[in-house]
Amino acid sequence: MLEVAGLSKRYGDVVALSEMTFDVRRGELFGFVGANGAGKTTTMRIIMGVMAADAGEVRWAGAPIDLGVRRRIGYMPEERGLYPRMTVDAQLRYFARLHGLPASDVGAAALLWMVRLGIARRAGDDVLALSLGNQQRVQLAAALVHDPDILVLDEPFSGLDPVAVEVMGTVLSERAQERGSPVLFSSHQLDLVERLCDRVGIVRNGRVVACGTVDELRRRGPARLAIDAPGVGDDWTMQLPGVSVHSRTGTRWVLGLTDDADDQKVLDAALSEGPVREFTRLVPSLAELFRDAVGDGEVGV
Amino acid sequence: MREVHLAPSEAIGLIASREIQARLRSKAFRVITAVLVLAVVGLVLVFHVLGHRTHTATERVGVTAAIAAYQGPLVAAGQTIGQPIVTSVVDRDAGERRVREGSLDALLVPGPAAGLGLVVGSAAPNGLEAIASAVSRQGALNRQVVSLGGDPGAVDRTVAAASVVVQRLEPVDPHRTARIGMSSVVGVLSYIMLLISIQLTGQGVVEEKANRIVELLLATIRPWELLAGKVLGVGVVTIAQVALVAALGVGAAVATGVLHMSVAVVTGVVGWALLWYLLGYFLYALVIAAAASLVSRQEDLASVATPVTVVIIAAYLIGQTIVPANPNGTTATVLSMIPFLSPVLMPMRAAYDVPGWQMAAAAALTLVTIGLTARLAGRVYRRAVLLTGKRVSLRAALAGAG
Repeated sequence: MLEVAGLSKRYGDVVALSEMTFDVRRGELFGFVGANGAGKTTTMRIIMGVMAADAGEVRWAGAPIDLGVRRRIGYMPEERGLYPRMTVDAQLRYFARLHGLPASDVGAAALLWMVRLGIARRAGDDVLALSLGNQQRVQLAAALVHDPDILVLDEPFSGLDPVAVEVMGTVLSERAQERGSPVLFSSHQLDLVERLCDRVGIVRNGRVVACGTVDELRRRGPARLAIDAPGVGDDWTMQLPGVSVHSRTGTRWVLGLTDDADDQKVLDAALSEGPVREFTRLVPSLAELFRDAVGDGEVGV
Repeated sequence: MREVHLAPSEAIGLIASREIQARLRSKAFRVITAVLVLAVVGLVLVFHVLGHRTHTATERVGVTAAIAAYQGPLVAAGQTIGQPIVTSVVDRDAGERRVREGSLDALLVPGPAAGLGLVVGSAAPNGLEAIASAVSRQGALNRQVVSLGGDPGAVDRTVAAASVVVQRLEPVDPHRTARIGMSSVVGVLSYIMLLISIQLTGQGVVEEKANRIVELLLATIRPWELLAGKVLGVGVVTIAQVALVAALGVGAAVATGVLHMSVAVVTGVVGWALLWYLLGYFLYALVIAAAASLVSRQEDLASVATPVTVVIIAAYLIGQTIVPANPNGTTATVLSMIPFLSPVLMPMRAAYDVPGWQMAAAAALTLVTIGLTARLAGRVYRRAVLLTGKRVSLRAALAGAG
């Protein structure tokens, strides 16, 4: 298990992280979401040891993470980094060697990932000559070429075409399920995070404000009811305890219910005033949960 | 989880060998090497051609029949200053025509009064005028001696016996000119090569920082391993470049016979030049690597590299000014012992004879300085190389925690 325990970090007067705490379990895809500047990249950089925390620590299997463990991590930094004037093949071999793969294995490993990610035809080209999407694939290959045990990927989906997004998603799920690797990745594509991730951590102002499976987060959020009742008057909900109007479109109302509010009383009240065409308990999307969690004015998705 | 071992030496080796391959692949590097080789070999060939002109060109002088007796004294006078002269008797008109055509270098004719005249093209070549005047004066003197009833032969012998004997307090250096030449070439090359190599190092550091590759690298190796590998890699490539240029330059010099010195002396000078290049490279490259880690764009590299390049250029200019005049004088000795000046001044002095203890002391001082610089550079590099964006101040890099 990869544990991020109470990380704090300040840049001068700016608080970047404030007791950031979460964990990524073996075989789990963990989605890290939050507005720009919320602290996702800083957290990942501290995990990778390229930045020091002011307080807190990162643990792997219960022990503080060290260089030996970090060499077993596949890392994709937020700012992509590849040598422009080096061929794709040479680049992958180089990164594989730096992560401790023996010289005899690097050729096969580089080829495997080039084929897998559809860049084998460009093996002999300089990275400079590749499209941004293909450079992104090389970057992922560089993170995977040493057959890592843990993945830490900062925005792996940004800049990818739909085909590459599919491939990337499949690769990440596979690493988690087949290898049992903990996979931590950040993304602004919330639908993707919702579809792929086992658990999600929502970050705001340098701390995790909500963490759990998407279902858990949904259950934690306020219950919503959609009701289409053409016959009701404007103030029909006034008499119902714990019910508030969230929004109204024509005859369709979306109501917010507190935990102790009774949805059956709502239905009765609506029926007593006229017909009811729709009565649905709404399941919020991750995007809605995210908006609730980070609040207004900070929705940089 | 599998254990991964990557010893520091392996990490440094990987970084260095990538650096070497990247340089060898770079077109700019190959062009620079070719230009250097051509420049040095070309210089040797220029020396060769100039040497031939001044030492072996034989002057062809026509003499009119009336003064044909002057042929012998003319050739003899040429010999005393090492200028071969061949003479032939021609009539005046034909002689002047041949001087114009260039098949004669000069024409000696009877002059006004008792003197002689010299007909030349636009200018008298290779001291012929002085030779002709000496011959003319000797003729006039002989005639005067005879008219006074003396024996010109006896006068000549007496005059010859009254020559000045030079007493040398120090042994003659038969290779003085060659040493000045070698010292100068070694100085120019050391300075150019140091500038090129530190430029490569600086660019390499900024490239990794600008492209954020450094973040990937430092997630798997330590900053000092990266710094050491980079400096070592560029060092290996450029020392090979220097050795190639030196070998081809010396080869060309030996083949054309430009250097009239023993192979041992030349090898010694080249050996010292290579050693000092290596010491100088490590010293300056560490400083440049630290300086380069402060900036995030190639355009800003010059601004932080300038203090180092100024020191190297100053060392070279000081060397060219003081070393040839007095290579073992107090000024040259003291300045060449200062660590940041030694790498340029010592190889220049090595073309002359430098006392062994001075070489050893300067090398030891430079090594100690390299050790101290490495510590300081490692500190700055570790703190600054991940801070992208605006230029990091040196004070912040030195003072920060971690």
